[in-house]
Amino acid sequence: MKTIDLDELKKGLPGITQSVGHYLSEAVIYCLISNGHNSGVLMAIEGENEENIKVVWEGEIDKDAVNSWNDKEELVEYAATGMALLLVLEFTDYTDMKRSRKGSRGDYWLGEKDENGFTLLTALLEISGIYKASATNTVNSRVRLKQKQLENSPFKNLPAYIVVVEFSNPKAKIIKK
Amino acid sequence: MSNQLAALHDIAMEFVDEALFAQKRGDGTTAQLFYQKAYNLERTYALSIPKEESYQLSRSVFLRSAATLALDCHKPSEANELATLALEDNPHPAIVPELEEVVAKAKKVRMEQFNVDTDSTLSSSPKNANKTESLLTVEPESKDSIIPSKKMKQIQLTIGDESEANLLMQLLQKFHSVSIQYS
Repeated sequence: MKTIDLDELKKGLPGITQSVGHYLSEAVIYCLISNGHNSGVLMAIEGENEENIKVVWEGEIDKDAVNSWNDKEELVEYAATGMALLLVLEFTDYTDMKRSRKGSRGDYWLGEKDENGFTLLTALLEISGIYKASATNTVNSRVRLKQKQLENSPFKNLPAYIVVVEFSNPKAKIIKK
Repeated sequence: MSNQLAALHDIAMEFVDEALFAQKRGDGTTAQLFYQKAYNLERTYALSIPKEESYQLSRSVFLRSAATLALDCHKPSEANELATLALEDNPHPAIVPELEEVVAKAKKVRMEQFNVDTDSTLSSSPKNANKTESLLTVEPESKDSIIPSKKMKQIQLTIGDESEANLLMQLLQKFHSVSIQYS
């Protein structure tokens, strides 16, 4: 069984700075802990890959961190982003990422570094997160929404991945468009 | 050398994060300093990306990124220059709308800097420069060369017609500083 270590985010990822990685890591851990999960929780991966993975981390969330995440929408957005980036590195061939600037239509660009270290971008990553799924707010409905958004965007002819993460009954769906 | 250049983007993003954190805690001055540093590095990186077809998407994305940072630094002329360069440089079709958005934003900000605030423009006077707190209007027969207020931000020249004015605006936006000589 594969293991995803959330503390890896704190070291920064290709295209993700340490400070942002730290922030994302904290969001994922808080989302899982506040849903009653502990380090070692299993997450079901669906879509391109069908398997369970183990999600681990060290330490607890302190009170200050809890207070800083009082906006649940923001919390889930960052948590889904942190989880999705780790999943993309684990389950796809992409090795480099770039955040889209605010106002841009995609969430992240995916690619690889060339022999000179330049980023060769080739695909788009769309991310969505759900704190606790409901009958009307499911992983599949979010995937459909993202697919529709991509179809109506100027990026419709680009390769793209959609990753939707749910934290109450941990699961993630990875779809290649 | 290329590897050093390639690292510029990563450092630029560190500065962007610092700028965002400064903005979040309400420290606009520090945010501007970090945005400026980020912009300088991102611009250098974007302009260094190879021009081969396979880098088309990367060049478009990073030029847009640099242009957006120029806007964050209140440098609309440079934002316009970078986005226009990307548009002229065989851009990836998916990025064209975003580049056009940056150009439009840059022009809007530029126009605001040049003052489109018609409320502050007084009616013209044939013999003297028109003065308001923030705008000096100089017409062909104006004689006064005194800057009337420390709040002065723009000087408005009245020239032939609207198309000439637009052309002059476009030309001036391509330069960091402008001096005017006459015979």
